[in-house]
Amino acid sequence: MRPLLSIQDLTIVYGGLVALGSVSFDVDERAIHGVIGPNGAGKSTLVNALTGFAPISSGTVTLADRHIGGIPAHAAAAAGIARTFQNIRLFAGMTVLENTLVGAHRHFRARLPHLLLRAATARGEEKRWRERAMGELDFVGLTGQAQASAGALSYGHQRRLEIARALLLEPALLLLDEPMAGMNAAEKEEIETLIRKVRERGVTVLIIEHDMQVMRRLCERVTVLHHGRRLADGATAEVFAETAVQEAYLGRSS
Amino acid sequence: MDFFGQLLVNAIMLGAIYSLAAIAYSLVYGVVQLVNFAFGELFMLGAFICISLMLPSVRLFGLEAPMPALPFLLAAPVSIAVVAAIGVVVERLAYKPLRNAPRLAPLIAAIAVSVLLQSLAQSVWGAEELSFPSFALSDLPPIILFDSIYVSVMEIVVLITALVSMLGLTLFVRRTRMGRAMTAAAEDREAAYLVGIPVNRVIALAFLIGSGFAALAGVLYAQAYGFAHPTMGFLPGLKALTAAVLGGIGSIPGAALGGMVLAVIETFGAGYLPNGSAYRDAISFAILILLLMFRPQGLLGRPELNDMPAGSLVGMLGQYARAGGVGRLFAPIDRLFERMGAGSLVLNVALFCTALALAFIITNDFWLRILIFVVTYGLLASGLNIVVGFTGLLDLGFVAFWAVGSYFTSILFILVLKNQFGVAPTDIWWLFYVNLIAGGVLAAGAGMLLGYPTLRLRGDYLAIMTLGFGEIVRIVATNWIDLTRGPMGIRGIPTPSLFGYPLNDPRHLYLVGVLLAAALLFLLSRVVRSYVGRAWVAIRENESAAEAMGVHTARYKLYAYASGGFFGGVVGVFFAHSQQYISPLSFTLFENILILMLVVLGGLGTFIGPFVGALFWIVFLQVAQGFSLFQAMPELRYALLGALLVALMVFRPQGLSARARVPLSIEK
Repeated sequence: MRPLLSIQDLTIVYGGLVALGSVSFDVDERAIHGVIGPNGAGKSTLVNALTGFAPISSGTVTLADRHIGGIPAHAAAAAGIARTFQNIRLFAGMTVLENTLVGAHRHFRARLPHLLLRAATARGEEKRWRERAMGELDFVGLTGQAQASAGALSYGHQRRLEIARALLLEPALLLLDEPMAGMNAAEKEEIETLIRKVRERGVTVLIIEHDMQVMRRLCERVTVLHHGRRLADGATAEVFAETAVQEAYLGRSS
Repeated sequence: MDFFGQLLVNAIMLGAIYSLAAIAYSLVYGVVQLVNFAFGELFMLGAFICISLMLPSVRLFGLEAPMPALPFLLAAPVSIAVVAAIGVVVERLAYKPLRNAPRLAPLIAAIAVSVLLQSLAQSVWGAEELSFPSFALSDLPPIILFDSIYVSVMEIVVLITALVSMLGLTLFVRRTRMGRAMTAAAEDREAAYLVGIPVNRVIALAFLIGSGFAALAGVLYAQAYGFAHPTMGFLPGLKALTAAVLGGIGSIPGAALGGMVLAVIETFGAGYLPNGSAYRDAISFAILILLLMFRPQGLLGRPELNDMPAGSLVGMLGQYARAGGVGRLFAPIDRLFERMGAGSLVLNVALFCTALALAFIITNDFWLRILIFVVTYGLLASGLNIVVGFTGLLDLGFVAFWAVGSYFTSILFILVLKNQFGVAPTDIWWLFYVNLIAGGVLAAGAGMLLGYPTLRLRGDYLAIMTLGFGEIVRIVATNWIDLTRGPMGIRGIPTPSLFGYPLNDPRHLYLVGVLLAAALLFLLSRVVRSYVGRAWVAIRENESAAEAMGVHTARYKLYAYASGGFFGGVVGVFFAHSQQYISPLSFTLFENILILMLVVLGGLGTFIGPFVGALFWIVFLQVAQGFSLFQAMPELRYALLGALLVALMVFRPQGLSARARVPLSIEK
């Protein structure tokens, strides 16, 4: 299978500290690809670098053969990469529906005159994307909450809203930065199911998560980062079997 | 050489005073990351209290009050102690409750405190100058250096005092337990708290010392220039802030260095540049702007200070504001506005018709004129609301766009067409309507132009930079006499007319204003209730998330500046023609702050809020005239506004009509 995302020798240096050192791996199209590693391994730095939030020191990143290394965040979104944040970042002063609609920002075509005259193009696309947004809210399990204030949602629902918002970008690649942090087993299972459904729609998923049980079940491939280096990369079962991985991440005794 | 030497002496004196005040900004910013705009007013209070103590009697609240007639060397420390105490009280009441609020809240509170203190000082001491009494030290003959450079004994005292206090502060911060605790709290407040540092006391101490330094600077300044005045703290306050930014805000040696460098540049610029003295303040602001653009961390500062945590006054409702009993107080208002904000067509049309009907119900020209002011200020506040309320960017230079619109149409009508080409304004009545749009477009362009350099800035730095732009525009309008006729202003601007039918009585002008307001709000609502409005609010709520969702935040910020500028420009044209006279006095920072306060009072990020704020405030201004207390001290009304705004920030930051929330999409 052709890789959707290809990372070559990606290096990120923060003031002399190597956050990522020459990391390379591919993410296959329509895969659920996991990135694991202990705290400080460079996982979030990786997500930030792919989405224009961290400056790249050297190396190349291509998405469907297009170079996207070092482009600004809004351009990364326009290129088809959507993300969620480790610490939820919603627009607290907006409703759930409005939050989701911001995800569709890049699809709107109406220019100022269209908006001022409320021309058919403006009305039509607004209606279309509202419907799509409602659909995504149903998809993530937020039916009936569209008019609620985003800030008033429960923690779990906020996580789902972030995913709905990201999906409205119609991304080729969805980056999930610890989407299950702070959840109990039942909630995690629901998010797991949701992620599978996302992949069935044809979206490639790159996920960072600390729960190894979940990752073992969910991902076809995993990349292990350790101190900013790639420690292992491959099919999930094989990677988990490697002694180096077990020592670095799961602890020597296991 | 004589000229140069004298300038150098003057620069060093001025630099010593700037440095002291800059240290106040830097010290407090270092510990709580707040630009305490009120330092300019504490500076002024220091001067007033010191002078008052030195006199045998002073007129306070218009009444002659006996005073102790203390010698300077006693009066100065007492006034510094009093101002330091005031600084701590201000911190306790206005800033401490906002410590975990979004950055906009303490910033607005600081501006409100500044208005409060300045207006209070005007009420207490009156609007006239209080001259500095002479005393033993100041009466000594000057020392003459190199036969021609005069240095007074007091100037040497100023320099020595400044050096000793800076050295003392440095030793305090480095050598004492409390000083090191302050450094720790500046580094990481939470970590300092966790290791047992009494952070609240440290912050109070920073305000105590900072206010003391501001007062000391004020006393020395008033002594050097020989007077105190309620507005005297404004410019030196801004200069000190510039000096603090120049040195690297948060750094004490930086502030000292910044003060000196700024004073040298300013003094020599005024001395040697053509027409330099007229533009000496503009020189400082230009330095400030260039600095923020190219090296916001200043000479000795650290770059990471230019950031702002996510969150907005609107979005973080209830997360820090102590609603409680006050919240219940607003319940009926909330219910009313909730219905309004839902955007029901019937309600909006009813509101519009009521506004029109007022023109016929009210027969009194005086009140119709008041209503014109309500509409004018409501529209200005609506324009500022696009930038501050919807997009979350604190803009203190908004009056510039109002000025652009006003001057554009006035210069065209009077100075060019009438004076150069002899065209009678009544013959070209239609040009007013063209100018409404042209002035708006011109101001929108200015908005983008001035907005561009601010794009990388956030929070306090953004506020400071826009303030610099606003002041530069005002200074140019005052001093470029060939273009603007300077402080004389432009007279004889024709009132609007329609096919030769003059619309010059207050009723007509009010109706024109209402129609203009309806048209502008209609257009604005179409933009806000689309992906553009969503992008603006997304930037306000969380800029990085907006960027991650594909919003080109820089571009949408420029759109916001342009839209706000458009409003400002259109209102400027209307204002010029309805007043028939404009002068730079209409476009001051105080006006800008007032407009900002109207937005905050009415409700950030709502359509109706700016008008609610304007109606509330302007009607109050008039009604208060009926009370003898306010007749005797009209400035007390502004003090009340300042106090109200602080209370609003603490208890209800979202303003009166918060529930009139604007839906950000077309269909319900």
